[in-house]
Order: sequence, then structure tokens, then C-alpha cells
Amino acid sequence: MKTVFTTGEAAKICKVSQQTIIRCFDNGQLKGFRVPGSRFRRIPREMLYKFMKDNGIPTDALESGKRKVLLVDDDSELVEVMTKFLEEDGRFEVRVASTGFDAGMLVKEYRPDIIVLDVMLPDINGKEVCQRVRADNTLEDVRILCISGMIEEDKIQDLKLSGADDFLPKPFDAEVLIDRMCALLEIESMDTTTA
Amino acid sequence: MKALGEAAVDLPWLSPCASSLIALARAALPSVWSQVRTDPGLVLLLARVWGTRSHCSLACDADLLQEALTHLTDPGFTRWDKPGAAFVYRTCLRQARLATALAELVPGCDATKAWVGGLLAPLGWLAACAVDPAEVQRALESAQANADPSRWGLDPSPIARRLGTRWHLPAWLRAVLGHLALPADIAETLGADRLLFQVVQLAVLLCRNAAPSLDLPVGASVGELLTALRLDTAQVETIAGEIFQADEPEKTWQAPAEQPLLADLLDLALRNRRQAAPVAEPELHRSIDRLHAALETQAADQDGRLQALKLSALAEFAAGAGHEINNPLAVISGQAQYILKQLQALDGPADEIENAAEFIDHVHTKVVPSLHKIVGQTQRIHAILTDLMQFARPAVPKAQTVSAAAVVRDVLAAVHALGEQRHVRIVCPEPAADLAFRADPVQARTALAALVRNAIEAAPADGWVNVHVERHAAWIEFVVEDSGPGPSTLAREHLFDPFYSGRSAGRGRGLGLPTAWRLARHQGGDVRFEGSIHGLTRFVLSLPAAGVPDAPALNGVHGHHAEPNGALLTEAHA
Repeated sequence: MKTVFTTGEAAKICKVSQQTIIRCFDNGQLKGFRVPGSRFRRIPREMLYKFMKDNGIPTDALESGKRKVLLVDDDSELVEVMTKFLEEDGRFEVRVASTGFDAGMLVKEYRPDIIVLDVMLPDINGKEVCQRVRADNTLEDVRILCISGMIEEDKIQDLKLSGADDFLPKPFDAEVLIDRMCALLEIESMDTTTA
Repeated sequence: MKALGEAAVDLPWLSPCASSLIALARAALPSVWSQVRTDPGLVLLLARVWGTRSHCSLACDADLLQEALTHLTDPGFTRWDKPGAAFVYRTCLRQARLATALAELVPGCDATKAWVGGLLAPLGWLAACAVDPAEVQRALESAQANADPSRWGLDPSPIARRLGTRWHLPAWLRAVLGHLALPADIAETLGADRLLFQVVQLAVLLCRNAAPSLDLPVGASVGELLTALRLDTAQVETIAGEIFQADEPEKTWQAPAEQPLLADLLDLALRNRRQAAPVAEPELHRSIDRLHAALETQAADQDGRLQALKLSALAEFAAGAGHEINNPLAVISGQAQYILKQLQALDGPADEIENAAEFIDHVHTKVVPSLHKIVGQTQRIHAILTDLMQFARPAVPKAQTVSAAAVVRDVLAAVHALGEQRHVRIVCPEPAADLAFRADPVQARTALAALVRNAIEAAPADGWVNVHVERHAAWIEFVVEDSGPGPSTLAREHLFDPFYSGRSAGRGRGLGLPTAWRLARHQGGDVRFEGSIHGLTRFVLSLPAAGVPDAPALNGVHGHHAEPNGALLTEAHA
């Protein structure tokens, strides 16, 4: 789960302008810290929560805090079992695309935090999907984790050069998948955040 | 006086120029070919020698000399720089150069034969020149630039056909001389070498389009020929342009009769070559020994190379198979992990499970579906391995005579659902009832179904697939076309490789086309890719033709009805 927020993120969660958050931060209403060596403001989760409670802002947006996953694979059976794991984990909201074309459409509309992308899609190659996502600078925060039954090392390198952040060969351990996703999303591992 | 046409048909030969014969007496034909090939008389003499042999090559010196000696004093000499003759000759040379250049671009087309075909294609005109160049000049000057049959008695084309038969020219050449006006399919039944025939047709047409020419009738258009020969239009235009701009070297034409010693020279050369044969024999044996030694070394290298090839093919195959099998494995592994997780949730002292019904319910809702999925995925892997086995080692075919219509019906029934699911319309005219082939019916059906399935998967949504059956001499051909973009240039080389992993996208086991190919070969047939043109991709399955079918339909259940016009139509999204 995300533990520290930028002023922009806090603004979105509280549904107020970023200027308002900055003003509250600067006048001490909203506690936080500045990144050492810079002037960037950061707000820890619990401070943001207190601020929202104090000011009567509904906290459900913060409490849900689920990370959005776009799962792209044309093997419906595999999608089914992966979705089961991700949803039961509780930290993820999952949407599914079965072609590269659908994935391209959904990325813009759904704005996922992470794409779990099968490389061999029926229409376009996953590598191309990576390149298209990377070519759009409004999507630069989106993490991409590629999965494939393809095992050739040079092709994996190729994928990473095209903008994939990580690669996991099929078949994989569901826990490993979730750990890798957490690492990319900078979510702390299961043991420390949830009981 | 005989009409020009009749006189031309009676010619004993077209005499080569004295200088060509001298060159031939001095050295073997292959070494002087570039020098003498511009002499229509000599090329024709070579064609006559070829007509008596099973194989057409330049290695036939002694026979060529013998043939020249036989006719040396016969009439039939032409000075190709005279008015009338010069125009015909220039056209012949351009056609020959163009045909040779085109033949070099067409795999399987012999460039030397193309030269001979291109040069001699207007044989009727060449012969007319040998009889009366002035009359040829008059005919050329007339408005239509066509021979006047009432004056000649015969047109140039019939002259060429008659001379081709009388001089026993090889069948492929006779087809070029007299039948260029026919489509290649028909010319082929008259003995034409299809590629060569089309190359000469194209050369004649290009010459005719570029400059005043002899108006030889041609039974195809430039576009059709470029497509049939798979030639690149721009490249052909460049080559033709270069040939049309090149200047012809000056050549002096001297009649053999003007060289009194020519007969002696040819005779001497002939005796020398015949005697040289036994002398050359030990040398020949030594070269054969050297060749054998070289072959043995090469065979040893070959073993190593074969091993490397095998390993690389195996690696390619393993990568492809791995990719296909890893997906179901991922599902199996995932479901198994899910079951484990569910069971861990139940971990604890047995007495904590208070409600047995709840426990059983938990197992039923969480565990049983996963187990079913696992079983399903093992079947998926099993199916992949079965297909693979079918490719690697198909069962021994049980050949029988099978009706093409029955196989097409069965295949359409089998792929109907896929077409519907992918919104692809399948059009198939009912094959003629007498079309039958000889093959294992099950394997033939599997091969055709694989091709049609491949076409459906390649076609875009709302696209179409067209299946029809043709008979070609000894073959029944199932032509499968789709409106898809066709495989990429890279993928074309690997169309029939199982699990070709160079595919960048696309699902399926990657075994459809390879299996179709393997099974067709297994019946003595073939599957070939005929290219993508104008938004149409075509694969052809050919199987050996048979007489009357003795096998009924393969299975009785058909989801189709015959249209009133006799077409079988499966409307996927009616």
C-alpha cells in the first residue's frame, strides 16, 4: 500500500486543488516533510488521513487505495486464475484486455498503475504495446510487467529495451508475480503492511 | 514462282555466318557462345541438334559441326544488315537480350534457352528474310506492318510452326515459335516450358510496347505475366530500358560460300574433336577421381554441418514448443497454487472445523473448479502433443479414390463454427462431381481443414475465405484464398516449420500449415503458398487426381445445403 503521497496525489484523493494542499502544508494544517536536499513536499499516509478526518473529507478514497492493474493476455483460463489471485489479495483492482488493440484503448481510459502484459498477443506483439505506451508521455508512470512462455534471453532483453520494467516467464509462482508487481509499484511487501 | 510463305517453309536451313562457323571450328561452343549467339543461323542449328537430344546444353560441338557440314552448301543465307532483314534482326536481338535478363530473375528458368527462345520467336519472319528481304521490307512498310497473306501464301506464325516441325526443333521451342498467342496453360499441354514460355511472351510484349516491332500476337498481358513470374515491375522496366538503349555492335555477315576453305576447316575440326575424345579419357578419369576425393571430404564436413543444423532446428522447435506448452502449464500451476492457498486457509486443529457442511461447501466452491481446470489444461497439452506426433510421423496413408466434393463438404462442416465465431464468410462453389483424387481420405481432410482454418484465422473480421477445386492434368488442386494481409516476408520462409517462433504475434499451435504440408506430401501431393496479391492470400493443396470416386462421403452429417445455383455457402454472420 502506498505510504507517502505527493501534493498532487493528495489533491486528487481529497478532491481539492494542488494549491490548496500546498497552502495547508505550508501553514502547518497538513503535516509532512520535504525531500532532503530539495523543496519537494511529501505527506505520510497517516498525516493525510488525519488531515482528511479533521476537515470532514470522506476518507474512503484513501482507504480503498487499491492499485489499478490492467491484465493483458488472450488465454482466458490464465486470466481467470490470475484475476482470482489478484482480487483475493485485496490490494488490486483488475481489468482485462485480450488483444493488443484492446489494451491500447484501455490504457488511456482506465489509466492503470501497472500493466501485466503477455508478449504473444493475437494481433500485435507485446513489444509494440510497450513501445506505444512509452511513446505517450502522459503514461510515463505506468509500470509494465511482461509475462511469456517465451524463454529466449535475447528476446527478453529486447522487451526491456522497448520499455518493459520487468519480465516473468510462464509458468510462474503467483506470490512471485505479486511480489514483483509490488516492487514495481513501490508497495511494501505483504508481511509489514497487512496482518 | 512460289509464294514467299511456301518458299520459306521449304528452306533447308538458315545458314550461319562464315565467321560463326570459323569460331566454332576453333574452339568449343561454350567458350565462343557469347560471340556466336547473335547469329540466328547458328542458334537455329544448335536448336536442331537439341531437338535430337533429351538435354539442351551447349556441350554438343561435334554434332553441331556435323550438322553444319551437312547443310553447308544449301541455300538460306541472309545478310542481317540489309533493309528488311535488319529490322527483323534488331527485334530478335532485343527479345533475346530481354528474355535472358528476365530468365535470370526467374528461378528455374534457363537463361540460355531464354536467349534461344527470344531470338527465334519470330522464326517466320527470319525465314521470310532468307527468301526475300525486299518483300519483307515492303510488308513492314505497309500500314499494319503485317504480312499480306494473299501475297505471301502463309503468315509468319504458320511458317514458324511448319519449320519447327520440319526441322525437329525441341517441343519447348516449338511452343514459343508458333503458340505465343495462346495462354500458358494451353501452351503447356503442347509441350511448352511454362516459365520459359511466359518469359519470352513478356520479352516480346515489352519490345512491342517500347519500339516498332513485329507485332507477334501474345496471349497474355504484361501485368498478368509480371504477376505469374513474380517479377518486380520497376526492376523489369529498368532492365528493359537499358537493353533498348544499348547499341548493337556492328557485325559483318559473310556467306559460308564466300569462304572456300570453310568445309575443310569444319571437317578437320570435326575429326579433331572426335579423336580428342579418347585422348581426353584418362584426363577425364583423373578429374573424376579428384571429384570423388573432394566429395568424400565434403561428406565428412557435411556430417558436422548436419549435426549443427539439427541442433539449431531442435532449438527453434524447443523454443516454439516451450512457448505453446508453457501457457497451459501456467494455468495448471496457477490453479494448483490456488488450491494450496485454500487448503492453508483451512489449516488448524481439526476441531476448529465446526461445521462439516461449511467445510465441504468451501471445498466445492473453491477447490473443485480449479481441479477441473487443471484436467482441462492437461488435455490441452495432450492435444498439442498429438498434433505434433501427427506432423512428425503421420500414419501410413490408406489411399482410396475420394470425391473432392465430399471432402470439401466435410471440411466446411468442420470449420463452420470457427468462421461464424470470427465473422468470416466462407464461399465455396460445389466442386464438379467427377473431380476425384487418390489419397487417404482422413489425412486429406485434415490437410484441407488445416488450410481453411488457417485462412479463417488470417482473414480480418467481416473478411472472406474462398475455397475452390481445380483439375490440372494429373492433379486435383484445392485453392484456398483469404482476404487477409498474407504472411510477412520473413514468415514466408517458415510457413511450414512447426511452432515457428519467429512469429511476433498470433496464437494457435503453429502446427496447422506444417501439418497440412506434411500430410499432403505423405499422399504424394503438396501444399504451396502462391503469394499475396491485391488483398488476397492463396494456398494450394494438390493431390494426385483419380478416375471415378469409389468412396462415399466421409461422414454423413453436413451442416450445409446446396444453393439453387449449385454453390455451397456457409453464411457466418447471416
